[in-house]
Parts: sequence; C-alpha cells; structure tokens
Amino acid sequence: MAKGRIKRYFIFAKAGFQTLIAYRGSVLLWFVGAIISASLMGLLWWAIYSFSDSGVIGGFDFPQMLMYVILSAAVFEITISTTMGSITDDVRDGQIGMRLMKPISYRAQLCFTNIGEFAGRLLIFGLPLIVGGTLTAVFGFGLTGIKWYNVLLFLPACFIALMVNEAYGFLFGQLAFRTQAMFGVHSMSMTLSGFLSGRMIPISVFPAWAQTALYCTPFPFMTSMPVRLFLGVMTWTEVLTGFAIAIAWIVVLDVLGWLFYKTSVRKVVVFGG
Amino acid sequence: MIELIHVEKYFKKPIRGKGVWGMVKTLFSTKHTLVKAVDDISFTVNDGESVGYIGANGAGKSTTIKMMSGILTPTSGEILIDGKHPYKSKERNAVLKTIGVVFGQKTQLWYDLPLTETYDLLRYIYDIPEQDYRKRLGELVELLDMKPFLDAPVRTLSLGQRMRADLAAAMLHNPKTLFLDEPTIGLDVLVKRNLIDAINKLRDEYNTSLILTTHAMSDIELLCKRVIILDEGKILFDGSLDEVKHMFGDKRNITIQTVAPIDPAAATDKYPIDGVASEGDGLLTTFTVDAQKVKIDVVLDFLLKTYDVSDVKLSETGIEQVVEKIYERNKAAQPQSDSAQDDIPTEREDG
Repeated sequence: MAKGRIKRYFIFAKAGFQTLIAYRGSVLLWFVGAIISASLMGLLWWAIYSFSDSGVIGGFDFPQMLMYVILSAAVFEITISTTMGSITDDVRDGQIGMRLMKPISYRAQLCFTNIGEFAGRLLIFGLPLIVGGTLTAVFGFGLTGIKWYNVLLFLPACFIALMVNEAYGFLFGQLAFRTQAMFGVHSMSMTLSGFLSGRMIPISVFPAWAQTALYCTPFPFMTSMPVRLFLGVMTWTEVLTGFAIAIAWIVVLDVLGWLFYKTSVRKVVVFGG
Repeated sequence: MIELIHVEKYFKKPIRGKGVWGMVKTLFSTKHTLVKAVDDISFTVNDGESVGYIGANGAGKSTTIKMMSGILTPTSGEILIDGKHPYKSKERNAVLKTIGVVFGQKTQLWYDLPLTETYDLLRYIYDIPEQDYRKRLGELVELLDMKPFLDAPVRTLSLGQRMRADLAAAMLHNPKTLFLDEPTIGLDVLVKRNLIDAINKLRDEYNTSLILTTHAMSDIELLCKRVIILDEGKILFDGSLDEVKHMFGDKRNITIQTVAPIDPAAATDKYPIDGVASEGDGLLTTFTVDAQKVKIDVVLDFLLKTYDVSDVKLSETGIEQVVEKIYERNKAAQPQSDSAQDDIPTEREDG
C-alpha cells in the first residue's frame, strides 16, 4: 500500500522529466544561458584579480574563483525550482481547482515534479557543463584540490539545494493566492536568493558578521554549499553541520509553507465562477 | 448517493474604499461584508440519476460543485457523498476517488505529455488495478474514437479531441458520480452531439450519477431527467424535466412563414395567444399558445385561413423559455431591495 503510494508520486517525477525533455529548445537556451552567465562572471573576476594586489580574494585564487562561477551557474540551472511558477500558473489559469480535486497531495505533486526536472537538467546539461568547466579550470588555468569524494558529495548537496529552493518557492508561491503581482514577487525572491546564496558573489567576500548571519539562513545551502563542497574548501565538520542545518531548514520552510498553504486553499473561492 | 442538507456558504469580501486613498485604507482595514453564495439548499441525488444544475452566472452552481468535490467547506449544513464528507481531510481522498470531473474550460490532462502518459499518471493517482485500467481505457478509446490522437501531446489536440480526452480521464477510475461543468462549451454541433451520446452511453453502462451545470439548455434536455434551478444561492425549482417544461402550461410554438409581413393582432384578438415573436423581416412569425387553453389545430386553421402562409412549423417550447420565466417570476416576487447576484446579508467588522 505504502509502496503504491510512493510509486504514484514517483510518476510525477517521471512526468517532470518527460515534460523537461519535451522542450528541447528551452534546454538548449538554459545551456547557452548558463555558459554566458559563467563566462561573463569569469571575465568580471579576471578583471578584479588583475587589479588586485593579492592573488586571493575571499579565500579563492583565480582558478578556484573561475570554477566557482562555472559551478554556481550550473548549480543554479540544475536546482532551480518550478514550484512557484507552477502555483502561479495554476491559480491564474484556474487549474488549481482541478489539481485539488485529485486524491493526491498537491504539495507532493509539485515536489516530485521538481525532482524529475532536476534529474533531467542534471543529466542533459548539468553534467556536460560541470565536466567541461572542470576540465577548462584544471587544464587551462591550473586548478588543483578537487577530490573524488568532494565530487561525489556534490550530488547530494545539489539535491538538498533543490529541496531548499523548492520549499522556498512553495512558501513564496502562496502569495499567488493573495496577489496578482507574482512577477514582482518572483523577481524579488530570485534577487534575494541570488545575492544571499552566493550565486552572484561568494559569501566569503562578505564581512565576517554578514557571513555569520547568512549561515543562520537557508540561502547558503542553495548555491554556496554545493559549490564550496566541490571545490574542497570545506572541512568535514563544516560539511556535516551544513547538511544537518540544511535539512533542518527544509523542514522549517516546509512547515511554514504548509501552514500558509492551509489558509491559501480557502482563498481558492476568489477564482470561483 | 449525494445528500445536501441545509447547506450554506458565505464568503468574506473586504470593503474597498473609493479612489487611491480608499484603496490605501483598504490595505489596513479588516472590515468586510459577507457574501452569500449558497443559501440553505437541500437535495438528494440517487445513484445513476442525471441532474441538470442550472442557474445564471454567480447563482452558486460552481460553489456547490466545489463543496461537493471537497475544495470548499460549507459555512453550515452538511454534504454527504455515500455517507462521507468530502471536505473533511480524513474522508476527502476516499470521496475524491469516487467522483470524476469534466470542466469545459479547464483540463485535468498534462499539457506536455502524450495522452497515454497522462492516463498512466491517473492510473496511479486513483490506484486503478492494471487489468481494470487496460479494459476501461480500451472501452473509452473505442467509444470516444480516440485512437488517432492517443500518442499525441495534449497541447496539440483540438478542442473537440481534448474534451473527449478529458471525459475519458474523468471516467477512467469508474467514478460513481460525474460532475460536468459546461462540457460542450465551444464545440461544434457534430462534436457536441457525439460527446453527449458518449456521456449517455457511459452513464447507462456504468450507472454513473451525473450532475451537469451548463447554460446550454439543449444539453440538459439531452442528458438529464431532473432539473435543479438555482438563483442567488437558493433553489427555485427541483423536479423532473417534463415538470419544468409544463410548469407554465403545455406551451407550443406555431411558426408560420408568410410572403409579406403580417399583423398578428387578428390572431391575438381572437385567441389567448401567450406570445408573438417575429423575425426575418417580419416574414417568420411565431405564436406561442398553451395547448391546455386552446386547441392547436383551431389556431393553426385560423392562421392558415387568415394569412398568406407559405410554410408552417410546430414545436414544443424549449426549457430555455421556461427557465427564463422562472427567473422573471422570482424577480417579480422579490422586494424592491438589492437584487444583485451576490446578496450581502450582513456587514460586520473582524474582531
């Protein structure tokens, strides 16, 4: 019985994977977008390093920083969550009623669809981008210090990043039931997470007090942690503590999202007819 | 069996101020009015029964359907589907497995997946045993003639194909009750007729209860034996289709085509004619008469003798005219006060 229940959610993961590959054009655009983003950030950091007296900024030398920007672009594209967008579309198009009339959890549907899309993005362009980027950084710029176990741990860290993003998206997505200005909400949440997760600039260049404060939030687990783990700049204690805190944040965000969702569903009437 | 017992549903609606300042004040105000969407309705739908649930926009039809399908909780009263409350979280999934829903303007299919994959998804959602699933899918594909587009992604289907596919999706788990909300909206005559035939066949084969909400009265006449008419959240009429048709007498339409426009006064002065309608530059005139008050053949004979008639057509009045009359009667019976569709019974402030 429980096996069947789990299986029906995995069907959504399969559907998410299939939906992702149904749009080859989008996949190609994501791939090109990630390469452009990484290239521009790489050039920017190259300029900054050229004018810097020190060869190390925020604890990274240039080859590490180059790998950081490649990985952060890849992690962003792989772990991006479609949950907020799906809720917005469902509410705006009135499909939410159809979703809620199914004998299955809407929350779980969204979550498992994201897992399927994550698998698709990881396989289709995540791996080529990361492998290509690593080879470029290692053989073109002399990057060292990457260990096989760090690469292995990078995968669960990415999965955790997806789950944090997904729970964060579900929480912000509840606003779709309350406002029509979801474009603004989406931009705001993306800018906030982009800046605070270390995607735009590494958290290690922030002042010490800001770093301490940030590590008490869920944001570093969206980008910074998987990237730093891959680069091998985290101690085992930091890795284990990081995983534990990230999982705790997933639970907290999920509980908050669930509480908001309970009140959101009552607002479905607004879109009646 | 579906039972609605004194069901009421109120919605809170914030009182919005006028102008920019009023809108700013609304942001910080907790004042609201209560909007009465469903007002003390009770009815029972037996297994296998087909009910047309009709009313104007905002009459409370969709709200009732949403309560019956567990999306909304009644403010008061009780809804039981085979003895279970659809809006109670512990009973909800069990109820949802016994109902199917088709919304003409929405779809339950996954846009980017081929139809077969969508059905496979539904198989797991509804826990349909593999053998039953294969058998029923085969039957539905044949009945709804879906073979040519079974492997096509849903987003590539035409509206007619999509509606057939949605009907199959709603019937796949063999629901005891099927809710149909405007299932034929936007369909051409032939597709509409085929869809209605398919619904009738499915209902007869599986003894499915049918609750149809629509503005197309012809759908009601083709699918339902019972009609519930709703207005402003209240039930105005609940009875058989024949009963509603003859509610204002046994009305017939006599339509005559003449070579020149006519003055109908000659007929209306002589016989108790209920209504006269003219179209086609006055060359087509329809006289509505009550067959219980006057003999149709007598009126027809008079019309043929009085006017230069080139063609005649006799028909029963449609349910549409009757429903219109019921609304008119209800409006006339109401006091002059606010007759807006969203009645506002009380006004209070959140404490």
